[in-house]
Formats: sequence, structure tokens, C-alpha cells
Amino acid sequence: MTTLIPEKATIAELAEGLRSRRFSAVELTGHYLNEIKRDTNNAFITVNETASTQARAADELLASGQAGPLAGIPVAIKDVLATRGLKTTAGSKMLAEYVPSYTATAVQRLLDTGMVLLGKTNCDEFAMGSSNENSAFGPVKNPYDDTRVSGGSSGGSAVAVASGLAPVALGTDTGGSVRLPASFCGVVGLKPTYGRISRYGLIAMASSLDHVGIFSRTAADAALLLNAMAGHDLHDATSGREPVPSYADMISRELPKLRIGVPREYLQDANPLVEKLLQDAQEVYGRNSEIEFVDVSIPRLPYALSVYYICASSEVSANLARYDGLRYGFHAEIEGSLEDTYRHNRSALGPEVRRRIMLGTFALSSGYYDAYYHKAMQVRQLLRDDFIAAFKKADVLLCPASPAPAFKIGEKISDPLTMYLSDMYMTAANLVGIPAVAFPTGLVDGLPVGLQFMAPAWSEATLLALVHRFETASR
Amino acid sequence: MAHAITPAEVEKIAKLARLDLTDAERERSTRELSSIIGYIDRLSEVTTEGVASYETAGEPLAKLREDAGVIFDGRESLIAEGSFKDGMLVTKGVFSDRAKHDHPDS
Repeated sequence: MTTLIPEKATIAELAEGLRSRRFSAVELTGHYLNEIKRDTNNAFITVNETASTQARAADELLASGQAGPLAGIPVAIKDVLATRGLKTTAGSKMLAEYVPSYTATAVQRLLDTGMVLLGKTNCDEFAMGSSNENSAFGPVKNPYDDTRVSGGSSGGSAVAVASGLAPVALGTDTGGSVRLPASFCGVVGLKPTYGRISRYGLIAMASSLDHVGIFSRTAADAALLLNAMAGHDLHDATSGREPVPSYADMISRELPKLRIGVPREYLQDANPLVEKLLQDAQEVYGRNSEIEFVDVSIPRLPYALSVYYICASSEVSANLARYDGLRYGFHAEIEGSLEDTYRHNRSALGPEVRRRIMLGTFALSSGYYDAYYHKAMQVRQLLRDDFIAAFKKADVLLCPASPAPAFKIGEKISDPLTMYLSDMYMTAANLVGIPAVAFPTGLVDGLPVGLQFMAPAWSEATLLALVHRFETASR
Repeated sequence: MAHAITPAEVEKIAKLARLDLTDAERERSTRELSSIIGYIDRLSEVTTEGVASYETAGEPLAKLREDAGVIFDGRESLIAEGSFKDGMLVTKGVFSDRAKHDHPDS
């Protein structure tokens, strides 16, 4: 089987193999399940025992001639997306035994195309973290160097795709949780527009910032998954009604004349690595006479991380109030009052989750609400104004994905503020709800590094087309 | 707006958030929250007078679904085997000692 599957196969290559009957969906799934068994990076929390049954159904679908491009293609799912009958832990001791009674819309739409669910991937607890060291099930290691972090919070999904345990995977991105691990592991990570993919069945972290995102080897693969999942969902009142174009067809079309802006604020304190990455990209795209680089400014960009940690933590403190041990998850009978019971049960929450709950509780508390939460929401509005102005001068924005490649496991875990700074290029896209994609540009000292494009709402096709150009140029 | 968090404030926040802290956690939280809020305090440099608070973009909310009953077909997945006793649903106990269940604030 291994000889039949190109080690770093794309969906199109796998779909061709399935159609030409070089291998069946059952064999393909078996191959990935074997790879998952041999994984030493802790990418998965739960393997789907019914994957082979789903693969048999996909083989029947393929034989019927009615199958779409995703039929029989295996997929890994971050363990914060609910899967009926399959344990969904959110990387937390609190939900260690939780088995959902329904499936998230994003996952269901993939299953409806005949995709095969391989299992649930490891992640930071309740998706809070930049390194995947906050999982109750242990850290995820970087496949390029197992003494380094995978990036978080969707580290397991990034590693699954990077190390050939799954051709594609779903993650979630509240402040960079798809794009940062994608960058650390050398794969494509797409966070679409706020509302593009339904969040029904996504265990909520911060509802105004949570997005479902995609990990893939190529922009074309991301386009296929986005097409399958995008669009309005009656179960999610925040899902958008914008029409869903054929991303898969659009990415290889000729690009119109495009202006790429590099925000000045990201260049001010950029390190030599970041400067080099941006220069390389300018060289690749500059060869195309239709692409022009322009100078733009987003004056409030330096405040994005501060706004993010207030807004996200405030929403976390509200969303996670439900974990009192009575309605969900971990529960112990103790002697004491109802308050004592709540507090005792909430000891199942890990240190980072507790830290953010406290930060959010502080920002929303009497006497501090105006100075912190309200102020942050005003600056968030100004940041949106800045982006609207910048998109009048540039069609897309280019910036680094991370200030540095993957860091050592344990290096930043005892200093939360330093850890938070890993997301310095990430959070703005979540705060203003615009689509962003991180893509690999190569290796520095043996570790993957990457860049990021951002574009106005609903412009995923442009982002994926630009990444596709880079892939073609550097092939 | 510069603000150093005191141990007493951490205690108050933890109570509001229904979190139990050990002495070591209280000490660490005081230090960590002070450092995080110290960084966040740069927001005070931004002039926000008269600026409206951010609201999710002007997209209208999804239209409501038809007001009709929907059959949920996942009953078995919600109710584990052996959940009923004498026709009554058995749930996990909350208190091991019923005599002490009065709310501390009541």
C-alpha cells in the first residue's frame, strides 16, 4: 500500500488512485490507520473505530459513479468538533469521557461527501494555547524536531497532515490556532471569513472569534474542503448567507491585477528572518507583472494582541461557566455547598484555561469593565476601520505567520505573556473577521517557516489562488 | 490605567469565576495576571473618545427556522443503558451530604 500512495499525496492524487482502482478506500484508510498507530508525536487522542465501515460505504459510492472529489478521502478532526458516538474531549480532563449525541455541521458536511473520519486530534485544552502544551493528553511534538512544539492550539491536526497521518484535517482558529501550527509544521492553514463555515457543534471558546479552519498540503486541497463545508447553516445563526463560489475552480484561473500590501507596522520591529521571508515572497510574486507591492499602514495593529487577550478571555470566562460538573463532564460528589461543588468540579480545568477565565472575569468585573473590556471593543472597532482603509490601497495583505520557527517544548510554558506573543501576527484577522491563510515557504535550520495572506471578507478564492501561485513557482 | 493586581483581587476574581486556588496558585496568578495586564495596558495609549464598540459585521442574523417540531433521533445516545429505575430517570448525585446543601450566601 505504501508504495501505491505518494507519501505526500494531495487529494487529487488520492482521488485518481481510487478511481483507477490502484487502491480502495478501505485500503487507503487502512494505510493511514497504520501510520497513526506508528505515530510518536502524540497527534491523535481518539482513533475512529468505525473508519473502515465508512470507507466501505465510500467504496460503494465510488463504484456507483456518483462520487464527488472527496469520496473515500480520509480526514482527521480536531477534538473540539463534536462527533456523534465518538469521544470529543476538547483536550480537557473536564470532558475526558464526553461522547456527543450529534455531529458538528462542518464534520457532517465532509462525511456527506463520502470522506472517512480517521479520528480526533490532540489540541490545547478548549483550544487555548499557542504550543499544544496545554492538552490534558500531553503535548504534540513537532515532526521536524521532536524536542520542539507543534504549535497550537490545533497541533495534532497540523502534525497529522505534516507527517502523513492524514491527507487533510480540520482545526479551529480563535487567535491563530490553525495558522500558527500550520506554519510550525510546514503545511497550509486556512482560516476563512467569520461565518463562512458553521460552528454548530464546535465546543465554544470565544464566540466572536472562533472559526473552523483547514489544514492541507496544498491550496487546491483546502479549496475542495472549503467548498464542501462553506455556506449557511440553520443551526448556526452566525453562519453567513454569502454565496459559495467554486473555490476549487477559481484557484488556478489567471489572477487579475493585484496589489499586495505589507503593513508597515509589521516591518518596524521585524527580525532578520521575517525580513528575509518577506523579501523571498516579493521575489516570487514580483516576477508576475500583474502583481504590484504597495506600502500600507494599519496604525492600530500594534494593539491587536492586547485587544485579543481581553476580548477572547472575557468570552472564555462566560462560555466556560457551563463547566460546573453538573451539566457536563467531570463530576465528583463532595461534602459541602453547591458553590463548593462547582469549585471542586472546576478543578478539572487546567492552568491555562483557569488563567484565561480569571483574566476575562477581571476584565468584565465591576470597576474594570470600562477600562478593559469596553476599551478593547472600541480599539477593535478602530482596528476594523484601519483594515477597511488598508484594503482600499491593497487587495491583499502579506505578513509573517510567526516571529520565529517552532520553539522548544517547555521554553515558554512558565511565562504566559511570552507565549501569548507567539500570536502577534495572528490575532488581527480573528478580531476583524477576515480570511487569512498561512503557507509554508521553506525551511530555516531544518525547521519550517511560513508567511500569511489576509484579504477582505469572503475573498478566500484570492487567498488560495495566491498560495497556489507560490506552490507552482517554488515547485 | 496601569494596574498591578493584588492577591486580594486575585482571590475576588477566583471567587467570581468559581475557581479554587491553592496558595501557590494564588501567588503565581498574582504575578502572571499583573504581567499580562501590564502588557495589555498599552491600550490606554489609543484615543477612543466617541468610538462605538465593535459589533460583528452588519450581516443580518440567519433567518429563523420554521416554528415546527423536529424529531431528535439521538435519544439512545443521550440516555445510557440502565438510566431508568422504576420508570424514573436516575441522574448523578450532586451532594453527598444533603444536610449541608444550603447556599453559603443564603
